Amino acid sequence: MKKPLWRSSIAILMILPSILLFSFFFLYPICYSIYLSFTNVNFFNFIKGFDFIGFDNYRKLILEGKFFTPLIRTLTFSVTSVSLKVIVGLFLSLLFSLPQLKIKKILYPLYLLPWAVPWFFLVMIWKGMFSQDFGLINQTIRMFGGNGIDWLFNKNNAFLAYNIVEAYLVYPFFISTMLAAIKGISQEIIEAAMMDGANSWKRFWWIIVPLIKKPFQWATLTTTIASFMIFGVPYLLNKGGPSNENEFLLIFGYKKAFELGRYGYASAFMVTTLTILLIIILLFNKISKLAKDE
Amino acid sequence: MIKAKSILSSIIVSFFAFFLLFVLLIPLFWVFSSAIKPYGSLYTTELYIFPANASLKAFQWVLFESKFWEYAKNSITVYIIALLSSLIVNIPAAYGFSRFKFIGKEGLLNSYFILSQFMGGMSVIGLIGLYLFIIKIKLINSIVVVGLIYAANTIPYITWYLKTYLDSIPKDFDEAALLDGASFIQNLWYVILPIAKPGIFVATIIVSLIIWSEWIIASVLLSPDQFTLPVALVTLQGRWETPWNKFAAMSIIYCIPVIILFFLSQKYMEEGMTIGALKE
Repeated sequence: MKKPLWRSSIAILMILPSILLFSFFFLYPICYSIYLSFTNVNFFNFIKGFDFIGFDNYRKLILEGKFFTPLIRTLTFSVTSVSLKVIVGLFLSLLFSLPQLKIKKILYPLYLLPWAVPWFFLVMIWKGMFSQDFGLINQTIRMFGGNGIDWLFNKNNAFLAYNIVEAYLVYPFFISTMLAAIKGISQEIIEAAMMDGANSWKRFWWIIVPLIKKPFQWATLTTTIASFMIFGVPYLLNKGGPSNENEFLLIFGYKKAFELGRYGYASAFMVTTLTILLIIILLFNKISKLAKDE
Repeated sequence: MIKAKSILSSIIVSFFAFFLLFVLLIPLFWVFSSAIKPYGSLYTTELYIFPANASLKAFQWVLFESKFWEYAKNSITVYIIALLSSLIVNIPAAYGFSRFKFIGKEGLLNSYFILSQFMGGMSVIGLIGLYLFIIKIKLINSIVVVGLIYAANTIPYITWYLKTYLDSIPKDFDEAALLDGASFIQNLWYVILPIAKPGIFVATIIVSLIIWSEWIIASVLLSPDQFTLPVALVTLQGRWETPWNKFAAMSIIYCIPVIILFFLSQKYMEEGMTIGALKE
């Protein structure tokens, strides 16, 4: 009888260091954020001492409608960018499932090359490419006789730019997820389908799609949530500009804290975002459980 | 006839795939060509892949005149601290999760897995609390602390990943060792670790790729003389007077280790990165 207890205490000893490290540097800071969101802490009074002010920060957020605009913008972005990523991902997996494509072994790692490059560097390369004067995109447009486009200092163009860059960052993830699934299909099945007169489109729909459905749903769900938490791409391209017109949830919170020093207010903002995120994650968990039971 | 037609369609499809690849890789060609462009010619409106008067001056500047080595030293320090502490806490934890039963195990593992999919956003959400907490306990501007924070952020995914890997190792190995009188620690060290090497290798690569490119947390917690390479690059580019060719050259040198690592580990990575997808 003694043995199981002893065994589980060993298990706890083995897991404890990781739980402690995780709690100290990850969970506690988040709890501390929640506490700070009920105070008036800012850049000036953090050391001297700040006061508990109840729900004032939250009231301000909701009454002034400060939360609503970035929320709508973030949701809009999630819809546009996920659609774009899904279209690009499906298109590329269709391309790679074609039996006519003979050199997959060479092409595949080359298609994944952008994945090997740290993502923030890719974003900064795109920032250079979007640059008004010496960016490659405007140079190309001018070569064909057009006028350069003001990419990053125009609200809608910048929004388009975020979508393009996000799709660029995510497409290797989509291809590799899809192809891991497609790999299971033998070339013979595809060729047999062709013998039966199935054209490319039918073959894709009836053979490939059912096989990539699960991983595809998975990839779509994770990118949807990643899009909801968009931060790096707009922050590096133009800090959610021009003049704060493209601020998404996390950018808004980050700038209020680290540019204006309004820690308490920004914490309330982040905590509200976290609450919405948790609801999404719970739904997501339900959906993936449903998918498992299917 | 049919054969000729299928060859033709093969050629068209392959040509298209190559063209698309070329378009997708343009940003990489472009940054490379800007690195070897003399500064003045960045502002010309001509379009070329290989610039007319190419030079390696920007690379020379990075290696011999810039603060590159200082940043690299900081990056490598953070990297070593983060990787070692990540492995030290994650391997026993994964072993514990894999081999023992205890209350709340499944729930904890599930939350780890779900959380691991959103760590990037979560670390931004918790950044204010983290920053003020670190100031309060007077550990701001410490490279060691940043390394430990990175290690903490790897816990959900790496514990979960290694646990799944250890599950695939038959329990007979442990039983045999334990019957021979080995302790659990000895068993982990002498029996499990050697068998689990491939899984630990994948975990190491995943951790490396994440740590080497992290800049958000580091930019908030470190002062300029402790900047890691990613933070230095992000701030360098934020300034308008920064010559683009120097920025590009420094970034390319910074990227070389990860690109090599990525391709060396291609075979294993596919398995590691898509394990979540296949699990469903």
